[in-house]
This record gives sequence, C-alpha cells and structure tokens, in this order.
Amino acid sequence: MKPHLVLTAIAALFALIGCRSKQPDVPIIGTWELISATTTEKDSTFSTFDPTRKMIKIINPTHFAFLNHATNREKDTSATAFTAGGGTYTLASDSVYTENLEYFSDKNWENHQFQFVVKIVQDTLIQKGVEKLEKLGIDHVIIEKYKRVKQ
Amino acid sequence: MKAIHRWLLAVPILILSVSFCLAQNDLKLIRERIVADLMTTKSVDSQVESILAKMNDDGSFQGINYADLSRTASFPHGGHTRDLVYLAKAYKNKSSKYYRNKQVKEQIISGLNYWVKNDFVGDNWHDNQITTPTNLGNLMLVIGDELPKDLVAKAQPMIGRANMNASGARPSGDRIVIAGILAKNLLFQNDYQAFDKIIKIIEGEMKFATGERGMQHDYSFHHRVDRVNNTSSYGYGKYANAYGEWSYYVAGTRYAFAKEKINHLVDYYLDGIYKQMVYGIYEDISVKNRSISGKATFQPQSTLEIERLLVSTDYRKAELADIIRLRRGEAKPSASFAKFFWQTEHFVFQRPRFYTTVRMFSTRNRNMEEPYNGPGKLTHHRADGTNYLMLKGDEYHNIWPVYNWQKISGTTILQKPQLPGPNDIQKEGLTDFVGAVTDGVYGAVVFDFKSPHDLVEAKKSWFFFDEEFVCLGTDIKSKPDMPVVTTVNQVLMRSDVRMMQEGARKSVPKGSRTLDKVKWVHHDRIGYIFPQPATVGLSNQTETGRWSDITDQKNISRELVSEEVFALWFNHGNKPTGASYQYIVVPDVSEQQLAESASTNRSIEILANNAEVQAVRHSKLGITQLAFYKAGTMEIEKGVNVSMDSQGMAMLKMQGGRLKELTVADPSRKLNRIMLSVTGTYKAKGDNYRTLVDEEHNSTLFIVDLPQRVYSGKSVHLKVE
Repeated sequence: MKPHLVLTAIAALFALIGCRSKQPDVPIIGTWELISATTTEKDSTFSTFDPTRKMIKIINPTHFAFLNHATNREKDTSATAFTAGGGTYTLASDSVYTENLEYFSDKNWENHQFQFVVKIVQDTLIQKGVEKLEKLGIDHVIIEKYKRVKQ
Repeated sequence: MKAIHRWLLAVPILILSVSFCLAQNDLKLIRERIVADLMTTKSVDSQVESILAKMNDDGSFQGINYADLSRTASFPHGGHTRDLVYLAKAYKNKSSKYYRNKQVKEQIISGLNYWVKNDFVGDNWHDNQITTPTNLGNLMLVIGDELPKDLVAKAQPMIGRANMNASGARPSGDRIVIAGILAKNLLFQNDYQAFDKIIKIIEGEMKFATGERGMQHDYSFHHRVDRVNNTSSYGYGKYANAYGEWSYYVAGTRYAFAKEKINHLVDYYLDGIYKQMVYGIYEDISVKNRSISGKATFQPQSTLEIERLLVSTDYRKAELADIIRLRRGEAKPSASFAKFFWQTEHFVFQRPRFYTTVRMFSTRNRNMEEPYNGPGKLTHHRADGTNYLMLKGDEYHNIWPVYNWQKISGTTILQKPQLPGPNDIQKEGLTDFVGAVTDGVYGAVVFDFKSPHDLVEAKKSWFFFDEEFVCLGTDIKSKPDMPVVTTVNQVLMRSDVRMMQEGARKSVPKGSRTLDKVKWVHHDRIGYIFPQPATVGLSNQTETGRWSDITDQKNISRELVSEEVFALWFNHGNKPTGASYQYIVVPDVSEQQLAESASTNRSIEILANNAEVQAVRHSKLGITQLAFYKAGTMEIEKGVNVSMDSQGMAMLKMQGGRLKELTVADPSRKLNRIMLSVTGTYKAKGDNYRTLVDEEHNSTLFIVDLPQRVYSGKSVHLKVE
C-alpha cells in the first residue's frame, strides 16, 4: 500500500472515531431555563416559580446540574440567594428521568434519588414527579417547565 | 441434708428421663407413620413373582445394564433397590402370599449383598444422593431390623450419601428430599438428638427466597439461579409435597411444625402450584421444562397432599376442599382468575370453561431449563410467548414426538432448517419490557420480544376477557433470509376443521396449505377470528415422529408414532420489516355461535397495534387494556383519553363514561410510580395513589406508587369512588 493511502486510511479511522465520540443526539441534553413551576402538597396546588430568581438546568449525557440565583443579588443577601445542585441521572424509554442528587446547597437533600417523567415539546421540557423525603417531611408533586436556552 | 441433695440430683435426672421417654415415644409414632405410609402401596403377588423371576443367583437383576452409569442412561440401577423394597413390603404384608416368606427374605439379603459389594455410583449426583439412599433407607425402615447386622452396616455409607453437606442439599427443590432421607435413617438408628436437628432444618425450609433458589414472592419456584420456572416440577413433588409429608409425619408430636409454616405452605399450594395446574387438577404442559419429552399419563393429581395439610390446619380450608372435590371429579371447575407470576414472567388465566397461559422470559430470567441428562433437547423456543389453551387439559397430551418445535402456539419464530444443538437452548433474555397488568380477574400481557437465538423481534401482547382473548403482534423484524412465522395454535386434531372464507362456510379437507381471506377457523370447540380477513397457513393432517427423536436419553422408544395434528399460523415472509398480526381466540364455542358472533368481532375493538401502543377494548365488559411501549395517548372511548407519561400497562373499567377501576403495572420494573391521565375529574386518594385534577382541561392525573423490590412488576389495582 502506498504511504499516502495509509495516511488517508488512518485519517479516515480517526474521523470515524471522532464521529463516534460525539455526544449522542438525545433531546434532553442541553441547557434549560425554568419558566414555570407548580407544587401540589396535600390538596393544594401553588406556583413555586419566583420571577425574582433565575434558574437553569444543564444536562449532559451523564450528569445534570442546576443553578438558581436571585436576579438582584445586591438586595438579596440571604443564604439562599444562590442555590445549586447536581449529580448523575438516567433516562429510560425517553421519558423516565431519574436524578441522583449528589450535590446540593442543602445537605439534607443530598444522596437521594428522584424519579420524574419528562416530555419534550419543541423547545419546552416538562418535568413531572414526586419529591418525597420522609425525614424532612417532604412529599409533594412538582410540575416544572423549562425552555431550551439557545446559543 | 443428704436426702435433699439426693432429691436435687434426682429431679433433673427424672426430667431428662421423662423427656427422653417422650422423645422416644414420638420417634416411635413418627416411624410408625412412615412405615404405614410405605406399606399403603398394594403388594401384588404377580409383581413379586416377576421380580423374583428376574433375579440372578448373585443377587443382580436381569434387564439392568449395571455397567452403564452415564447420565443419559437414567440410572436403571434404581430399579434394583426399588424392587428390593417391593419384596420387603410383600414380606411384611399380612395379606400377601409372601408374608414372612423365607425365600423372599433370602432374595432381599442376596440383592442387598450384591448392591453393597458393588456400590453403584452413577454419574448424576441425584442417583447417589437421592435415588439409592431413598430406596435403601426405605428398605431399612421396612425390614432392616430383620437383616444381618453387618449387611445393614455396609449399607449405611450408601444411605449416608444423603446428608446436609451433600452437593444436592444446597437450597433448592432437592434439599427437603435429602433432609427427609437423612431423617428417616436417623429414625431407623433411633438417634433422636440428630433427628431433632434435621427436622428443624426441614421446618425452616418453608420461606421466601426471592432472587435465590427456592420460593419466590409471587409463589413461583426457582430450582436454580437461572430463575427458570420450576413450580410444578421441583417446587411441587420435591419441595411442597415433601414438606407436607413431614408436617404430617410429625403432627401432634414435640416435633410438630409451626402453624405459620404450614399456612405458608397452604398459600404456596393455592397461589402458586394450583394456579399452574389446569383447574388445579391436571398437570399443565405450559410450565414443563425438559420433562416435556417424557411420555406422560393424563390423570387428576392426588388429593393426599391436601388431606395431610388439613390434619394440621384449617387455614383456607374451603379452597383446599374445592381442589379435593375437583380432583375427585365431584365438582366442575368454577373458579375464575388471572395471575401474573412477576418473578417468573408467566401468566395464567382461568375461566370455568378454559385455562390458558403465556410463557415468557426477560433480562431478569433465562428462557428455559437446560436439557440436563438428555431430555428436552428441542425446547429452544418454548418460552417465546407460548400461549397454550386448554378446555379439558389433554389437548396437547403426548403430542411431543410429532410436534413441530418451530411452530409453538403463540410464538413468533424464525423457520430454520433445524434447531441448534441442546447446548444452545438456555439463553439470557434481551428485553425488559415483559410483564402483565391484572386485577386478579382480568388481565393483559406484554412481551417486547427479541429472540436470543436468532434475533427475531416482535412486540407481542395478549388481552384476556371472560369468553375470548385477543392476540396482537407488531413491529416484527428479522434479518436472515428465512420465513418468520407466528403460530396461532398447534394441537392434537380432535374434530373436523371448518372455516369462513370469502363469506362462505366450508370444511377444510386434510392437508397443509395457505388460505386467503379467512374470517374464522373452527376446530375442537375453539374459534379463531381474524378481525380483518387474513392469509393464514393451515395444516390438519397426520404427523409422525419418535419419542427418541426429542431426547438424548438412552432406552427411549424408537417406535414410529403417528398423530393427527391441527396447526394454524401466519407466515410473515422472509426478512420481515414491520409485519404484524391480530386474532381473537374464542374457547368453548360451537361453529354456529362463532359464525354468528364473528362478524361483529364479539364486541372487541382493537384500538392500536403499533410499535408505541397495543390496546384492546371490550365494549360489553367496559374494559380497556393498554400496553404503552413509550409515553403516549389513546382515545379509549368517545371523548375519553388515557395518557401514560412513561412506558407501562393499564387496565380501565368504565361505566357510563366514568372510570370505576384502574389497574396499572410497569413491565420494565424501572419505575417507582406510574403517572396516567384520564379524561374527567376524579378527586380521589389512597394509600398508594393520589390524583391531580386539571379542571381547565377536564382531566385527572393519577400518580400511583408501584410495588418495589420483591414485588416489582406486580400490578396495583384502584377502585375509583
């Protein structure tokens, strides 16, 4: 085989490997901004969306992370002015999204698993599920909507 | 003082003596019960004569090839020790002509002498740890006290191969059997201390062992860690009956088993074993493994096991009594149930006039038992969605030598020139969306099937109602250039075959052919309706084969067997991509009734049969059953939508457009909860569910907690008030 053919073959191989190492085309992967949130606890449903704050959720092929801050940090000097969390996740059958919360501002929430169902309609991600933490007395249904953050 | 000391010393000695005496009395009683049990089998004089006639001078028997100890020879040596026990029973039986006959006793001694001199050890551990110790142990209990002491001593090491350190005594269906042999031998030796320990081991075996060898939480039984269903084989005779036998032997003595253990056994019989037997009466061929290749007799099972249970408990007595009446032929089947064995991927559906099953496998269990020691060498596809239907129970009786093992009722199989070898039977499942939804009375089954043998794919589902069931298949794919076939049924032919083709009712002459535009087929009181007239293969002709063709065991009949067989199937062609099928099975129906109801498809509406959802509605019953392979929405009746937010199964009972009952399940076993929306407002709440009403959209979201861990895969049933 001629040297340039060998080089071409090697280049093609690398290109192939490069293609394979690209992130899979999974719709949930990306950066999402929270646009609405409701919580249902016992028999009452209320909005937990706070327009004075902004939250984004970043999902890569293996991990998720969310960052939440008060938009006016100068006025809000409380300890919760900024919260964040993250960990690994799994997605089964395109809809069963399970977060393993390994990092969070509030330690009590760490190392717990939360299973949700997700649905993506165009640029909107809807996340629905139950957050239950018996030791904190938490047991509520959340429905959150996110908009994909475009680059 | 000395007198007090003497008294203080005497009291414990007295207590010990009384305790010893009571134990001795109990041991005597237990031994008497066992011997009485052994002696219940009739001693037929002609049989004794025949055994004596085939005995050689050296104590061996003619007709046994003592040299062949291989696994596939099936240890004919067992016949030697079994016949010695038969002779001993005749010798001890007052009504026998051979009662206390000296010649018989001499022959027993001669036969035992031959055995202990040679100590035949088979290649299969079972021969040495169960077969030989069972027979020799029984021989000792019946006549051991009258045999020469040195001969008895020489037999002891052979009986002693049944011990709790033996390989066969691992947790499994064999453990109680081996412990039982040991316990009997301890009774013979009058060793009450060791007997006490063994009886406690036996008593402790009645327990759940989900994920391991033993009883699973759905009351199916796994003999091995391959998680293949062994309920009606190892889990019945060797586990349940052996346990029940000992509970009977020790009843009323200091060794009696705890009530909760016996009641656990009752649950296992009623919710496990008897729900895997046709009407609780006959063996069900659906759950047989390699033993399918052995010739069987069709007869009701014994009532003895139940009678023994009732000695110790009244728990669920009425249900046990029903099974006794059924087995004695004093009552007709009347029970209706649907049961999914979620640890075993096996579904059973019974109505008073029919019994049907679906056998499957998944990533959680293997497909079929390995063909240990030779039998079952063609059973590769017997769990590929096998759907047998029985009205009496003998519809497939001994069909196996002439059976087409690639056209198994209910399955979708690549038609290969021949099946792979026996070593390629047992496989891991490749899919996890395998399961059922059931409220205990109705149910539906789903099998996201991918063959580990040849990678054929099919999404299969079954929907069961009172008088019919619906079978759907879709997304059928295969790459090899060979046909893929879904078999509706392959069964013994018991009547003429009739059909409706292009609007005309006609008989189907004997033969094998492809038929177009068939609306229904009728054979042996069963109707098969094609909602859309279909092209099907139909064969009704004589098939031939040999019992020796279906096993690698030696000494199996090579005689040619002929049986008339009816088979009906869909041929999806070579390399199908996205093929599908649909049919309705109507058990116990006359041709006339079938003809009258087929045009309306018996009030059954197939709502969907695609790669995302399979759903069927029975409008007369108001029941809709759905299998969502992924999140989706389905209109189940005018204006009523059901949306599942993930994969899952649901069954809805509606009345006047309102939801009355909801049952859900997760075949994938990945969900903690199921979320399902139904049109209408339902403000309801229970221990395991809650609802969110969306007044604006006139919809209610049901959030249902699913059973986890050992109950994962089990359905949740809600009554919506």
